Amino acid sequence: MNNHRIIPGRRSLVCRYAFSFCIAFSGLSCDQKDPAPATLKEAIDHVATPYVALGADVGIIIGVMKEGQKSVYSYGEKEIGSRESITAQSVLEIASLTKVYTAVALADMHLRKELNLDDPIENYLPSSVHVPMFNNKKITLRHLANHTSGFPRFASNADKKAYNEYKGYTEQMMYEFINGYTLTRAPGSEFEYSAVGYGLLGQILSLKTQSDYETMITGRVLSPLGMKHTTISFTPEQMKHLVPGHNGNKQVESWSKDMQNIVQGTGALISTMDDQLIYLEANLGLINSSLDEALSLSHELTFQHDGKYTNGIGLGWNHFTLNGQHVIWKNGGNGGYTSFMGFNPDHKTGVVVLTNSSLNPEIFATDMGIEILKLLQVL
Amino acid sequence: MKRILFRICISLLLVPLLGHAQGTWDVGARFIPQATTFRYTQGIGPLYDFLKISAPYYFRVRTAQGVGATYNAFRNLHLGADLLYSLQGGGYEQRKTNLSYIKLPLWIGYHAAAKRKLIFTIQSGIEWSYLVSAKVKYADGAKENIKPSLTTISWGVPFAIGVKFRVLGAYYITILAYLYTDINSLSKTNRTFGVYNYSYPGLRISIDQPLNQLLKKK
Repeated sequence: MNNHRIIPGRRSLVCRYAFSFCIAFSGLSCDQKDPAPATLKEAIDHVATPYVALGADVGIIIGVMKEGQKSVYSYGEKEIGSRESITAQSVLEIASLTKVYTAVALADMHLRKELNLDDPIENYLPSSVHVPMFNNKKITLRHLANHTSGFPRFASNADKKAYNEYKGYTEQMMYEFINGYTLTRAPGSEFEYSAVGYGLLGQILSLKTQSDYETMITGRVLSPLGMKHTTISFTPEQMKHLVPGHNGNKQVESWSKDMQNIVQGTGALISTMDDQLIYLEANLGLINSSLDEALSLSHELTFQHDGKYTNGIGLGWNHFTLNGQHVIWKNGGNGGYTSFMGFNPDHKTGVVVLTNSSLNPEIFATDMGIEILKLLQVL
Repeated sequence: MKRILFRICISLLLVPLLGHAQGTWDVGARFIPQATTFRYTQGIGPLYDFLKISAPYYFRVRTAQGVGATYNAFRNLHLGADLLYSLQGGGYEQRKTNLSYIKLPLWIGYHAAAKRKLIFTIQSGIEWSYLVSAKVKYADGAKENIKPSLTTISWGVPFAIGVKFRVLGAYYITILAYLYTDINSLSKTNRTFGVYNYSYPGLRISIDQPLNQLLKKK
């Protein structure tokens, strides 16, 4: 049986088909816009709920500072299927948010004249370490802090296939990497995000204070601000509140636990939402401490470059003009966790996002954080 | 919903009228067993997003079923429309996201000469989906309605390739390898979050009968 016929004017017929469907479906767009959310809670629900409902995040906790008031919103679960929410006292890895703590410790030492931001880093490293130069231009502490040192994101002698590249990465391996590294451009000339740089900066600050990174950061930053639940050590108290990290639907091992002193300054802190809101308040100048000047110094723009949500960088902090307003932010992502802190220094508003999920480091938490900063501009 | 159904009816009526109805119609049933999940935009690039679909996420074994009509406009060209009830979803094993849709795929396809025993067929088109229900189901049996957060009308691109053959004299069975992905994000209340329904390559099975034979019987 052959039901098919050759029909004259076939092009014309095809055109008629296309035309008829176009007419029928023209204007059939996606959903009509819902009314704008009336309250901050409703607005944050709108931002965060789809991430949990559609499986991108196991759990999310969001802390907001607005008009001097803190509020905390939790979505999803501590563990998949547990039905327990992440609380403001739950402990999560804050990943690369650690870098802005390292940067403030550096700023504090600079202001106390224990070192200078523009000192060459070779002054603070063992004599066996030969720091590379480019046309006799030396890498300084400032270059490490604003990611313009010329060092790459990760060291080439780290195990790139490993789930946690930092695991087993020793001081000796870092020094070997530096001794063998050739700069391809002058320090201070170009932005390239560098975990190597921040690991090294944390190491330098701990060498300078003749202690380990955790003792240094606790003494310089955490204790003066009263942040009692931010540590590197997984103490029994911290373990009691620790929320497991997830990649997709799998619970994953902590990265922080396996990070040695040489890389801790880049992303090893574990903390609570309560503590992160203290840090946000301190950065907004809403609480006074001995770190006020150091925090302000860390915000100052040191290098201009354009990127996603970025016009430039201070000491660790990204600068961005969001709908005409100046915002400062930093994000993070370790295996199993993502984080974001951002604020508007002029309007004294800010947000912290912590999640126990890492499909892809940073992007989901960063997008959420930026969306909430936008909401804070209008609500 | 009424507006969509009205437009579907109008379009189906317009096609034969504008085309002078010189071809033949087949009508029949559709069945699509499918493994579904969500595809996320992760900020690196579409290829990365596709590669990460099989990353450690849970997929659901779901089905779509319904009826369809094919208009054999020319010797090798056919156009079609289906009306399907489709179950989709993803999420986690212990926290399943269940979505159900009424779908209207509109097809344009090429098929080899109809005299052969196995008729090669390839088709693609555009698919509108109306979200009927959206719930998260927890391991303890509790359910949460998430429909207010999701896009009610989605659209996407289906693609199918396979063979058609005749059985029992009067019926055609078409077995196609089938792939579908949404184009617009499922997230309604947060437009920066790119998340899409995705069906892993699966099967689309159709059983059709020429409309003129069906009418003659009656």
